[in-house]
Amino acid sequence: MLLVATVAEAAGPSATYRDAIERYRRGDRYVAGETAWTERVSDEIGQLKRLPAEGFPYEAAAMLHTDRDIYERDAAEQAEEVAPDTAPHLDAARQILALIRDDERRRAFERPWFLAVALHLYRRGQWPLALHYLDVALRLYADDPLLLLARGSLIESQVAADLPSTKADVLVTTSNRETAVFNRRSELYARLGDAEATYRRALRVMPDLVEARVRLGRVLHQRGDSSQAVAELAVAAAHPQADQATRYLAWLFLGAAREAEKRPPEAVEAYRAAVALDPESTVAAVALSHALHEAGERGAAQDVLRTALSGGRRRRDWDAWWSYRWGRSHEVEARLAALRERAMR
Amino acid sequence: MTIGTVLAPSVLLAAAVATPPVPTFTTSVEAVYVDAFVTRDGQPVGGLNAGDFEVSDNGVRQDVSLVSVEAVPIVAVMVFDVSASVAGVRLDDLRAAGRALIAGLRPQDVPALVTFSHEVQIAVPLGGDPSTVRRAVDKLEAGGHTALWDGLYAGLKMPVAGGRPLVIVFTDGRDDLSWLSQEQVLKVARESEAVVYVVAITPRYEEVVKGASIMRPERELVEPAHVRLVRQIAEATGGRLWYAGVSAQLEPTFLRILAEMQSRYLLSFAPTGVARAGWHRLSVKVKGRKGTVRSRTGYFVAADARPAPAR
Repeated sequence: MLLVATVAEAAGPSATYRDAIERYRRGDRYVAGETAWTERVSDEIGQLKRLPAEGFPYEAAAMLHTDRDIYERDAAEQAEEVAPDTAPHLDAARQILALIRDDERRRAFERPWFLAVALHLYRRGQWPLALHYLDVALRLYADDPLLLLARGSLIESQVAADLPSTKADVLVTTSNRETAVFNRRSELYARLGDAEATYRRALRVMPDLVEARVRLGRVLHQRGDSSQAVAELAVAAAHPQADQATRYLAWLFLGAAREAEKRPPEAVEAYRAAVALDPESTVAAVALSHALHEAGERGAAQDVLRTALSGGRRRRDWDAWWSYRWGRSHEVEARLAALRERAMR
Repeated sequence: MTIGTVLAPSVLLAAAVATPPVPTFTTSVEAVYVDAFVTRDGQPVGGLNAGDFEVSDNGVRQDVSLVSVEAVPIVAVMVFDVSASVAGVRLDDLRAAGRALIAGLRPQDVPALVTFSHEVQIAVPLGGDPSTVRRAVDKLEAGGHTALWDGLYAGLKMPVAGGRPLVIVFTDGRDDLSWLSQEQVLKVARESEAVVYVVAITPRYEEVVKGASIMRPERELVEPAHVRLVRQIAEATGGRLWYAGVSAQLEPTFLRILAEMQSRYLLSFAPTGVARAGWHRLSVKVKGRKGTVRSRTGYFVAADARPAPAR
């Protein structure tokens, strides 16, 4: 009897684990919140590796672990705890997907899975972990423009979060801190260079990925190369495939680049174009007002604010600038839903 | 004791006749106003005369007049953070503090209200009566992210036709969504006539690890980075940063700011012996007395600046 049980174990994962995957495959997402199947995950995966069955629902198993990760992070957030900076269930899912021997089947699921997982972590502010998954993904799918776009925007987000403290440190004038500040600024500059290279790779693969061009322009501006930034942003703003939000951002960033070039009239022109694309935007109004201020048109700068920011207006929920720092992480639910649908077939 | 400077200058392309109730100016001479606060042992020093001050503009000593602050209206622009972190008791305390500030204004003073979360709103522009501003304060709601620099910019750009502009900023967090940078707003603040006071609910210090040793990292207490940036703006205008440990401290802090504003000296001079356009470095000292002077460190005149209306 004991011998039979041992042989059965050696033949594959436990019945509890198999049952959880099967329930998930049939559409029961709640199984992700149960704990029984999660107790021996590394053993279960070890057993899965020995399983020769091509018919095994690897995709469902991977999504079960993915939803478990989401469940645990949701629970941590609800308890106002810091979510873990490790992801054992995502690692498990990744290992499971790697077991799919049919290249076409594996790539068809694994590539969008990596993107969805990266966006899931991105949206939750777990940026180092998101970057880790993107780097793993790009080792497998080096020319995927959407993975590259996500990676570049993630680096931008990290730099934007780190920049204020670096600027503030400049105000403290001890000599050892000056060196530290210099080093940190150099590091941020290098990271923006990494983002620039990432966007350029994406654009080599997909020249019409206008969002990557807009972001490239912004990064060039941040790195101090305003003339190149203007060139990229002008192309993006005029691109026939650019949607309204992307063109709006292109004009905003073009305005910023023109300000950096000390060309306030051109900055005003660019910001006016942004306002024309989104007349309700308070962001574009502030940008335009500031450019007018810098151009010496102080009264006009005040008029713009008075018109655009006056009380009684309905508050806006969305502006392309407000979501810029979060890249395409707003797509995560749709991407995960599509993966679940495929896993539950 | 070191004598520093604390002034808020206003550049008016008019000649100053520094007499109450409201100064008026001819158009032939440029006048500069400097809003100064003098303390000794942490207490305001009153009773000073124009002759007690020594003001230099780009290193050139100037003849100074004293304007009576009693007669000059305070234009109080409240710039309030209403991001999500303010919701709850903190918002209740902010409303109470705002009401107290409005109640503490004199009849001739003028309030206005700007709010910011991720979005900036001019809730009540200048020109409204205090009861309108009070009602707007009562209706404040919190939610969203923090566009501190954009909100402060909107406060600084309020069109002040007369009086002493005072910008009181309340915030409890770090900027995460502004379009403008701290440097851009700092430059606007330096060029404006406003005195900026910032009231921050935030820990005064945070522990940071310095050095590369993993085994024995050195730790030090430093002012949080986002607070350091906002303090730089306040001090550049001759104002200051106040820490309110808890939101219940907002009301007394606001009233203290108002009292400080009413204890300041408004100095005026017509610049002589210096080039007109460009940045003017200011130095303000008290002669023959111990005391610390807080004021802005300079003012800016654009090359093509036109005469501004009289205060």
